[in-house]
Amino acid sequence: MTPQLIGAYGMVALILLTFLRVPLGAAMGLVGLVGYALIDGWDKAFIVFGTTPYSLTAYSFSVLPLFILMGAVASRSGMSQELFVAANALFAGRRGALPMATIGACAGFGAISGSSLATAATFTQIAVPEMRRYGYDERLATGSVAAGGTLGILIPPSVIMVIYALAAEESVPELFAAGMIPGLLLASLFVVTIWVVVKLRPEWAPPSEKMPWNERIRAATAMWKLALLFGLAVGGIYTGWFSPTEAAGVASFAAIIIAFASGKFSLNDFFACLGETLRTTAMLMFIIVGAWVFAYFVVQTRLPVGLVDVVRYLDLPPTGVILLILVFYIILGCVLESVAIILVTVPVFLPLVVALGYDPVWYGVLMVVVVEVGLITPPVGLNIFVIRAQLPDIELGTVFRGIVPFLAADAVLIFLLLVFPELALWLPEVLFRS
Amino acid sequence: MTFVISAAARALSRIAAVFLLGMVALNVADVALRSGFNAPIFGTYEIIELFLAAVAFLAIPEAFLHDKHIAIELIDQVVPPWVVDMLRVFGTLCVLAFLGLLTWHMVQPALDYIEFSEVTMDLSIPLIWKAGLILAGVAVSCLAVCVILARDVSTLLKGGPRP
Repeated sequence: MTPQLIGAYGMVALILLTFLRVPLGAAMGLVGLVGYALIDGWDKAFIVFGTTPYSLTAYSFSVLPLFILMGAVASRSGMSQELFVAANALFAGRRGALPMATIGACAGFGAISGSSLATAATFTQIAVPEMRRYGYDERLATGSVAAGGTLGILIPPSVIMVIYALAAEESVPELFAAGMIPGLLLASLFVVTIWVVVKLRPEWAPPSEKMPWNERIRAATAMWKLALLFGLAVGGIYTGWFSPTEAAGVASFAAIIIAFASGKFSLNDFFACLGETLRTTAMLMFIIVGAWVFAYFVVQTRLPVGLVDVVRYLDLPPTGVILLILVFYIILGCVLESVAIILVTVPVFLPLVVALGYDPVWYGVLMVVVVEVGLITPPVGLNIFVIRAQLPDIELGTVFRGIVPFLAADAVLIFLLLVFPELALWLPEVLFRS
Repeated sequence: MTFVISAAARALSRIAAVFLLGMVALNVADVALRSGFNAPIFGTYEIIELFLAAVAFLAIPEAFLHDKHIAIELIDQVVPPWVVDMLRVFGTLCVLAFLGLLTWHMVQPALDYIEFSEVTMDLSIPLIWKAGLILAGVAVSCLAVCVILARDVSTLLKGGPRP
């Protein structure tokens, strides 16, 4: 059996184990170990296997727990509520103001929390009850929260971007910079989507009361905490003051100080944040150990090289290959979790994408956008299940129907990224490459 | 037995929490000293890597006990509950096999660190310190998974409450 055939069987085995409810880290690790052994023998496979965990504590990995801690503290200390009030002030007076405010607040909060699920969970509690109170249609209310939640993994600092950077051995600062414009653009597209939906279905959104400018400004100033954390976390990296790990450390420290100073954050909250951070980091690390073993196996199979050969043989245009990969990701995103998609597919597809002449940083952003789509599409659509878990009286179908218009916005962003890669590459070029 | 393993997992998590706060403090101190006094802390990278080993691996046992691992539960909607219970046992067995093999094959590299007295470049921190933390986390995770396996088997056999 050739290594490439073993690689193909390995992929099938991984998908099978995953669907049989085997936790992802173990599924990837076991398939990687057995596959590697079939190619290179058990002795070598066990050496690689046994040394993998020791290689995963490189300095670059330390950014993960620190950003997760910052997000956990920001989530628990009431910053999200203040952000929602501020964003609402910005859109007050427009029909559809509250869903638009939800998108704005999700963009701001997602930037700090770095997690789509945390953002969706937080704003399900804050925004949906408020929208229901004012008589917004449940499809629009839940759709805006589910879609807004996805902004968290695109706008920096993003945990998913860090995981991609580690898997692809790319620069975290460059990826953060690359996600900025597409993230803000997607937030704007979501706002435009709400505007269009409300124009077509005015009965879905009641008219909103106007707010005097002095009140708007007062509400907007409440955003200073998140602005400060964002400035430390992202601004510090862009200006070259901090490395990503230092930025994450300083920003999480600032988040803790601000949280305690606000008076809405107890010592119990603090311990809960530490526990949450540790469990999330540990869960990620377990998956990463399995994914690294799996990646060693993929390299041994020469599967990526085989893919490049196939593409050359078929003489497909690079854009056609990227479109095929995107379709594959969208299908995968419907059934697999985002971290797993990135860790499983990067070793396979990245060499092909680079061989086609694409920038790996651009590909990272494109991949994150497509993975985002998976977060709001059935049957997995984790953001939707997060909303449903908190609001069991809302039908799952209602949430899915509410999502449809926002998927169009995602499609527009993917199209724009394909046609204008500069949307992702301009900022890294200006900040780091020129 | 379950109580002892749960207590050990909780204790390791608390140690990990101290290291996490240490990471925050060390980063802040390093940035402050570098910016304010042009005197960065020597060997910060190596200390952070040591702390990370504790943060990332010592908390794994408790994460398992809290059912924090990611598994795709799509099949739950199409098969009867007893099949889900069987698959849960199968999944836990796979995790146990993975962690058991990992623990066993991590021992030799750790012994090599001791035998060859390997240390970090700047601060000469023995690499076995880091390896010991990682090995401890993975080994206790094995025990934690045994607890979960016992619970899952009990659920399967007696139809007890599902986690």
